Order: sequence, then C-alpha cells, then structure tokens
Amino acid sequence: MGGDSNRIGRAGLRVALAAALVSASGAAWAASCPSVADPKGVKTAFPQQAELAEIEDALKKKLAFAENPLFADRVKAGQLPAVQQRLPAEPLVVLPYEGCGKYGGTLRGLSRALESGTSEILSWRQVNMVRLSDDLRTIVPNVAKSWTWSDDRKQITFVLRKGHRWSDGRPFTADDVVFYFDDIIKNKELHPNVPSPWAIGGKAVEVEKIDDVTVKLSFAAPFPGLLHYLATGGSFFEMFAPKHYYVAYHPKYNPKADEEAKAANAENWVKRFKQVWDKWKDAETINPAALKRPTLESHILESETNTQRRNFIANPYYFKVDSAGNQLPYIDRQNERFLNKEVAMLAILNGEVDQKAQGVDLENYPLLKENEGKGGYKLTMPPGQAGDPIAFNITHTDPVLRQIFGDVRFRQAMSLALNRSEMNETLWFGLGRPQQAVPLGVPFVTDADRDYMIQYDPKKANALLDEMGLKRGAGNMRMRPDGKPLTILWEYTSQFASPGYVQLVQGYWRALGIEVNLKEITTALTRQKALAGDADINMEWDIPFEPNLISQVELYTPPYRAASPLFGAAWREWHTSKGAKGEEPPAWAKRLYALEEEWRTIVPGSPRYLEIGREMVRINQDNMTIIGTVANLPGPTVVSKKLANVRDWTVQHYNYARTYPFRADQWYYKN
Amino acid sequence: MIRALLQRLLYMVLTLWLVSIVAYVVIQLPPGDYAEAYVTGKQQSGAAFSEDEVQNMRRMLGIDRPWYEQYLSWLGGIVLRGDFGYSFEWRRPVTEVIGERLPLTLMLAFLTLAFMYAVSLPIGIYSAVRQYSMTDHVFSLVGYIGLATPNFLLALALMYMAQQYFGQSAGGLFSPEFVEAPWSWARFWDLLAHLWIPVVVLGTAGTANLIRSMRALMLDELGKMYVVAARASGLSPMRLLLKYPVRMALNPIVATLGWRLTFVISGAPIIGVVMALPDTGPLFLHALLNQDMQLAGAMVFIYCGLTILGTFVSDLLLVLVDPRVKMA
Repeated sequence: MGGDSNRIGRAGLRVALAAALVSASGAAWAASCPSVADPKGVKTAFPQQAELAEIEDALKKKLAFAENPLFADRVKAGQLPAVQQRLPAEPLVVLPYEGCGKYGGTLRGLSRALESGTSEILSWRQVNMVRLSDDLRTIVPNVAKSWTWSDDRKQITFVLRKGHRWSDGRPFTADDVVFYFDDIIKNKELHPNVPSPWAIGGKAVEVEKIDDVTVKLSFAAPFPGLLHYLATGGSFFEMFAPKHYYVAYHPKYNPKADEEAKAANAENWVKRFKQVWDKWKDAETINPAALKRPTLESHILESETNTQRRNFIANPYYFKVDSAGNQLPYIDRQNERFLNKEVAMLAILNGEVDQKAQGVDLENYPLLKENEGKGGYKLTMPPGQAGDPIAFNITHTDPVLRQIFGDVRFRQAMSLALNRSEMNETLWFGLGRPQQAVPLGVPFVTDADRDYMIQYDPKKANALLDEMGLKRGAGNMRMRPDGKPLTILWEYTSQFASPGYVQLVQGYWRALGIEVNLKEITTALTRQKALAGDADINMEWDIPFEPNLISQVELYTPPYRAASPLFGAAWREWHTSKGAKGEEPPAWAKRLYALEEEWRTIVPGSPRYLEIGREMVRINQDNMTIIGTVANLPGPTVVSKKLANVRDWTVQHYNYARTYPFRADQWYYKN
Repeated sequence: MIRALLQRLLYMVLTLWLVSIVAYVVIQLPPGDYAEAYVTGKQQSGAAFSEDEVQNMRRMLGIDRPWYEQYLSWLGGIVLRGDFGYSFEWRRPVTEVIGERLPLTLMLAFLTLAFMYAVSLPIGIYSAVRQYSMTDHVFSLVGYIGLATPNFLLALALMYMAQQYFGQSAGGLFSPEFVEAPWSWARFWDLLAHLWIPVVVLGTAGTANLIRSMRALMLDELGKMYVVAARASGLSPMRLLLKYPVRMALNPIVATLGWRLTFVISGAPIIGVVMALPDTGPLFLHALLNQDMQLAGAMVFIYCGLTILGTFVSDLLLVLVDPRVKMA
C-alpha cells in the first residue's frame, strides 16, 4: 500500500541523513548560498540568477555540485552518470528567494482536463530560450546563455550552453533548434502556413547553425518583440525539438516513416508526427510515447497519462543549480489531477493542492479566505483579470444599425450609461478599478486615459442620444431613424459574461430608452455571427497586457481578434490586400494600421515606442472602439504553507506565462 | 425459442445501427467542430490562435470532410476491425480511452442496481403488509424526499459533508495516496469509503420509485382471494407472503429491469461529472462539448448497447420468473 508515500518517506530519510552529514562537515553549505533575501554581497548581471563563472568569481571559490538523492541509486548502479557529467559545463545558477532548499516531496496541482486549464502546471516546469524575471520587465537568460541582436533587429544570435543535455542524456545543440524550424515549423505538410510569429515580414524565418552552441535567426523585417514573446505568452512553445528522437518519425530522415505510421494505425506520417509532437508541450504528454520523449523541462513524464491524472518526476539532466551548487529542481515529483470546477474547490479547501490560481473564480474568494487555516494554504490576490469589455459592431451588416453603432456619440453614451462602481460592487466585491479598455502594464497609459468617460452620467448620455436624433416613441423608448424601435440583440456567452453582468448593463441602457434583448448562446455561435458581421455586440476580447501588446499589437487594431472580429474585418482585408479586397477603412483605422506596422519594428521602451503607444491609445479612445468596465481585478491564488522559496505573485495571467516568472524549479518543501 | 432469440438479436443490431446514425447527426448539429471547441478552450486561458492554425488542425483530424464521410469511415472501422476510432482530445484510440473507464461505470451501475433492489424490495413488502403504520409513513416520507431531490444536488451535499466532517478527499474514487497503489485491503476500504456516495445518489430516486411500486403491487395482491384462502388453510404467514403475493408482485418489477438499468446508466454521467468520478460520465460530457466525434459516437453506441442488453435480459428474466410468459 501507499507506494508513493513510502518512496517519499525514504527520500525524506535520505535528505535528513544528507543534511546531518552536511551540518557535520561545517556550516559552509548554508553559508555560501547567496539568495534573493540575502545576496551576501553577490551582484549579478541579471536579477536573481547568474552564470557559473560569475558566481564563482563573486564567491572566490568553485561550486561543488550535488544532486537529489532520488537519483543516487541509479548513479550507483551505473544507469546515470554523475551529476557533474549531467549538468552543462556552464549551468545556470539560480539565487533562491529565501535560501538553498531540501530535496523531496510532490507538488500537487489541478487542472480541468488534459488540455483544459493546464497552462499553469506547464508553467511550473517549462523552459524556453529566455525567461521573464519576476519584475515582469527584465528578460533573463534561460536555456540560452546569451543573445546578440543585429543593429536593425532583423537578426538574433543565441548562444546555448556547452554540454547541455536532453533528459535522455543526449546533447542539446544548435541542430535541435534548426530541426525545429526547418523540419517542423517550415515543413509544408505539418504546417501548410508558417505559424505566427515565425513569418515576420511575410517570409518564414531563416535559421542557421553557426556552431554546436550558436544559432542565428534572420527575419525578413525587424522583430524586436521576439524575446518578449519567448518570455511570456510564447514561453509555452519552446523553439527547439530533440532531433535525435523525432528523426524516426520524419520522412526526410527516415524514408520509411510513412509506412511505419500506417503500421502503427495512423493514416500517414503527418498524423503520427502530430501524436508525438505538439506546439503545446503538455499535449505531447498525453501519448504514452512521451515517456521516452526527451525534454529540457525541470520535470519529465513519470508514468503513462490516463484520463484522471498526469505525473512527472525530476529531470536528472536539468540545467540549473542553486547558488550552493545543488542541482534543481528540489521537488521530486509533480502530480496533476483533472477535476471539474466544483470538486477542484473542495480539493483546495481540503488542502489537497499545493498551488492553484488558473481558473479559480473571484466569486470563490470568501470561501477560500474562510478556509485558509484549515486548508493549510496562503491566499493572495494578484491582479491580472479584467471585467469584460463590450464592443459594438461598427461595421454591422444591417445598414441602420451600422449607422447608429457607427456614430461615436452612441458609443460614448453607452459608456457613460454604465454605473461602473455599482458593477464593481455587485459583481466583483468592489475589488476592481472602474476603467476604460486600455492596455495594462504599459508606461504610455495615463490615469486620464483610464478614466475617460467612465463616470456614471445618464443625463449626458441621454443628451448625446438626443443629439443623434434618436427620438422617443411608444413607452418612451427610442426609435431608429427608420421608425422601428431601437432594439439591441445581445447574444452573449457565459464564457465572457455572467447573467448578472448582462442584466445590470441591460438595466442601464434601458434607462436611456434603448431596448436590450438578452440571449445566451454558445461561444462557437457568437464567433460565427461575429465572422458574418451581424452580431450587435461582441465581447470576445481580452484587455492586452504589455507583453502581448509588444508581440501581438493587432489586439489593439481592428478587427481586434481575427478569429472573432469585434468589427472591421473588411477594413483589415482592405489593408492587407492593399485595397483590392474588403472595404476601405476610415482614416483613423488606416492610421492604426500604419502605427501597427511601425510598432513591430520598434525597440520596446524606446521614445518612439512610447509615442506610438500613446497615439494608438488615443485613437481607440477618441473613437470609443471598445467600452471597458473594470480592470485590475485580482485572481485568487493559493499556495501551500508547506512550500518555501515562494514569493507572492505580482500578476496572474497567461500572457505573463503564469507561474513561470516566479520560478517553481526552486520551490521546496519545508518538512 | 432459439428463433425468437435470433430475431431479437437481429432487431438489437438494427436498433444500434439506427441509433448510431441519429447520434452522429445530433452531435454534429451544434455549430462548430472539435477544432473550434479546442481553440475556444485555449483562448479562454489567454492563448492566441490564428485562423490558419484552426484550418491546419481540421485537415490534420480529417474533420474538414462532410459528416457522412466521417460517419462511414468510422462505422466501417467498427464493423470491419472492431476499431471505434480515434479520440481527438485524448489522442488515443477510443477503445483505450473507454476501456480505462468502462469497468468502473459498469461496476457502479450494477452496485447501484443491487443497492436499489436490496433496499426497496424488503421495505416495499414491509410497507404493504403494515400499511398506514408509523413505519410505513416514515418510509413513504423518506421515499418522497428521495424521489424529489435532484441527483446532482444530493451528490454535492453528500460530497461536501464527506469532505467537511469525515475529512475525505474530494472527487474521484480513491484518496490521492491510493490512486496509484496496487490493490490491497486498505485500498479496497478506501474505495468503499468513496463509492457509497455515488451509489446512494444514483440509487435514491430509483429506490424510492421501487418502494412505491412494490408497495402498490403487494397491496393489490394481498387482498386477493387466493391469499385469503391460503391463509385460511393455515399456511405460515411468512411462507405465504414470500411464496405467492411477492412472487406475483415481482413480475412488473422484473419487467422494468431493462429501463432501470438505463436509468442508472443515463444518470451516471451527471453524477460522474459532479463528483469527478473516473467513470465514463465526464468523458462523455467532454466528448459532446468538444465534438470529439468518434469518442462521443462510441459512447452513445455503448450506452445504447447496454440499454438494449438490459431490456433483453429483463425479457429473459420474465420468462424465468413467470411461467405464463412465453417467448414467441
């Protein structure tokens, strides 16, 4: 019985023994562990981490590497090389938050289903070339030791770590990066179109191996946002793949790949390849083949994934050490259970979960707070969520509605009619801040932008509607210019708005004499209507954060979301086809497209970057393109009190790569 | 007899086939497809997707073909190779995905059936014999409450109580430490500690229903002349009760076994979802929501197959219980 707990028990014993030995050999171990809390005078080029030479210079001694006792048996039996051979010649040295930790334990997490709500757990173990530091600004080295930009920001050269190994012990080199681009991303059968963002300037990126540890990417146009992309939303898609493992599935290297795929019950090699490779690294772990698939992540798949859970174990070849030379990660295992929302809440209250934030609704805040002691967790409320915005369809297929919605006075009136403080109190415990739909975390948004037309002013709203000539008719309700009653059909989906939300807003608008009919439909249907251009309102839009405004600026230009346009899909078509197709956009939208193109080539943070950012915000506000409600909503975040080296999250969002900036690989269990 | 059986089997296969078509069409009806649902899910957590990626995915999964082509290739696989297709979501053959969870579903269904009959028959008989006694009233009251309480609500309430007062782990059928453990007494005990909730929840409404039927049927029989005659001839009360009226009253109960099984199996997905049980319920719901066609189709196939099988078994049982009924 309890095989797992037994193993942990033994590991714990070994840790205790090791600790006893260390304390017997003097306090040198603990004393030479610079941490974030106590850097012991060590200054590093990048925050909270250092290269090996850097730390050895600062400490004036060589780091001696130590490993997790979990691997001791396999090392002794000769199945694993010693830790010195497993680590790269230049491992990344991590300064832990509080101090050097202890090995052992299992990190327990939850997600909804195999591919639903899993990005948080992936962010515990994932790696990419670079990482975002927890100041949410600085890009720091990770898999890449360093990088150099060309002056025009069209080329970037990454330097990898000498001796870095995949989790099966095979070397990780520039070939694995080239393979990823040339044979996966640019393979016409796997990707008929080169996926974003690897076709900047309309041409696929060129990737060139300089030597084993140096690789150069050349873009057709400047792409200064690349590192931000790799460190944030794009961190989930590592830009390398173990070539030695995938060649067997790829016809370029294995002429029999197609036949073998058919023998394995797949239609062709493409389907087989997609079973073992996926852009989403957690999607790969669904297939039992992933037990053999090498990775650079901190933990590797331990057992075959089933429909209830997914289990990971520490990667013996992980490339990081703490500042005392102990190989990371400290935590032996990561277990992920798939539970629905309600049961997930019970599990959290029960103390069965060590860290959970993704998908925990704000409405659960009181319940989570009440059970904080019993559940043995700490509840924090980092920002990262926003109240849902509303966008009217300015390019409606109905000409009368198009005329009404297209009038900026109408949209301004609709914004002024919202009682945002009441919404904040009723829907979000008063925890948010009433605010327009401006990007978050950017330096070029001012308080005046945030507060633009957010005051509750039904009088002014009515005046604007009167000025438009929307006369009142039967029952004091307003009429369209063609004499029919003005009725908004609001087809919403529970994914973006709660019934409470739409009912409140319906009340505010009715008070202006505008009839609002509510109808809940599926997200797929709202999307279809948005694509057809006959939805009155679309809400499928997330307020952009700085990281994605840098790499996906089209979130702030019409149609704002290609897969589910808010409005102006035809404008974009006109713009991309240079006037051949679609519909000519108004001058302000043309200006936005021009700014968007320039923005992509600008270095983030530079004066011109700030200028463009300001102008984009101003244009969107002057035209009231999207009506914002509330921002800065916190997302309940639960962390077990047993975990150490954990800092409070400063943001909780996919676009900041969830837990990634807060370094789960250096967490450990106190006891 | 043999002929009748064969005819039955033929009808069963025919029904299954018709059901599979209806199921496939109905599942296809809502707008969107698996690729769409997948992208929605991903965008919900903040990831951006381009239209190209969605198209790539459709082609990859073969869902850019018309539905009847998809259906035929799927049905062909079942008939020719016993292959139920490939689950898009779980990226594994459907048989593997379902196989992992079907035993538990069946176990749950049969345990619930056993629970229902074991509880309701004695109570029904007792209530009839002691009509309008205090105990009869109490059982009736409990029965009405059981009948009137929605399954999922009962499940949530019991689960909350189990978590709050017994400190039991939430969701699933095992405590976390036993999920991966090999079978042992402790694991078995842990299973029982979790299993009673779904069994009670699934069985409550059915039990209440059965108590009422059994009571009514018994009351019908108890007043009949043959009972009076038997009693007059001095037969011991217990023997009389079990040998004649109970046996007569069982007739309709047995005849409805088929749809009781259906009731339990169709109720199970809701409970499975609410309680996060590792049975086929959550799997089925996910497959429907995501339009994971081949998995959803296979599940409908299996659910219907079980129902048809249940009806068949109840027909057979009826012949055994009541000699007057003949297979024709």
